[in-house]
Amino acid sequence: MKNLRTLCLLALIALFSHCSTSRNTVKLGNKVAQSGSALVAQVLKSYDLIAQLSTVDKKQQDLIRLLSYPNPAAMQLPDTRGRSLKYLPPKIAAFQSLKLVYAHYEELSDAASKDQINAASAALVASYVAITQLPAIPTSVQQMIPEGAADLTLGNQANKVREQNEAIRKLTSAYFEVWKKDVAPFKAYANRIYKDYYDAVLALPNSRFNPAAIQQYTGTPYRGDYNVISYKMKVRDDALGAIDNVNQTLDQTTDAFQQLIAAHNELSQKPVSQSNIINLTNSMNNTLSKLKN
Amino acid sequence: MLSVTLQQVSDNISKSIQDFDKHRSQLIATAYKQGGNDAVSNLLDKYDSLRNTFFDFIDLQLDATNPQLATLLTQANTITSSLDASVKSISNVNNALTLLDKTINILGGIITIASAV
Repeated sequence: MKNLRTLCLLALIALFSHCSTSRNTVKLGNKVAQSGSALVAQVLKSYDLIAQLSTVDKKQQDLIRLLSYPNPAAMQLPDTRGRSLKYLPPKIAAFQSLKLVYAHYEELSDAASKDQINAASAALVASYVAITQLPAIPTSVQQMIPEGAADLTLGNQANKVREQNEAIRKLTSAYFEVWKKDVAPFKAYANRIYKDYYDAVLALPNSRFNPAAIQQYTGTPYRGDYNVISYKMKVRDDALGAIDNVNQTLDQTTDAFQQLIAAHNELSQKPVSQSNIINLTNSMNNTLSKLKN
Repeated sequence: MLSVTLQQVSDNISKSIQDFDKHRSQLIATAYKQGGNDAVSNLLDKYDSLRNTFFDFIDLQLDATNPQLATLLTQANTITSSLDASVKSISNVNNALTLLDKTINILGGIITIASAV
């Protein structure tokens, strides 16, 4: 009877330890899934930022065109063609599919599933403890319980989380390749749009501006041409700031992408390093939280 | 064989646009002197065409990754279905656990009765 109790205790310890590792894997899987959702949301925001540039460009170019004519009274109303990038929509659609993948991965590893399974596991273990306290347990029952419990508890969810992590890791890496190749053309596009605007404003004759109106608008204390030139400098600095914002958004999204893939890699390691995954996902979230767009 | 990349071509177009931007005021003034507003419109239309060509090359660079998108979409959809199946199987585990719990309690009851006899 004493030996039987020791055996049961060992089986319980093994079962609890198995549950603890599995619970950890599920929890970390959920952290990676949430980070993945946040990253894809950021990528979609970045695509949106680029998509909006065609409207910015049209407004800027219409204004520049108007101000370029020495005799505006005789000109046609400017209506330059807004030039949107035609390959943005299929990319946005592709990343929306990835968003769906992470939403489902979150569901697979979410707290509700864990809680349900934890509750079911707890009930199972309680029954098991109750049964081991009985005076005579047939050997067939003793053998059945720990095996059945170990197979069906959190381990199942943890295995699914691991298995799907591998597939999502490969898929996200393939998406990252697409993203990386898009970054340089996006930067060139944004640079062209803002630079053409401030170059054109800088090149305009000062006679096109009303220094008094500028003074009212900007509150600068300068006279005449000085005021006009300081306004031109402001336009240039604002445009450079907008270029910088696009570049930073794209670069930091790239960094966050790399951190997410590293977290996926960590989750496929055995044993899983909890601290590495937490550091990587925290670092990724910090990177994303710094972005304005 | 094409020895220049799309990016090199768009960089060259970009330089031409910058050259125009740099001499913009003189170019417009000259055009206006020579042919009035029509000449200015003509010049600015050419400038717009140059910019549109630049944007076409940006599109071509973005198109380079487009063939991969169909594969990625298919893979993403396959994984989503597989995740759905996994979520369902987790719910099934939950049901199985409840069932096992009941079985063990019944077995416990039988053993209790058997040991009392």
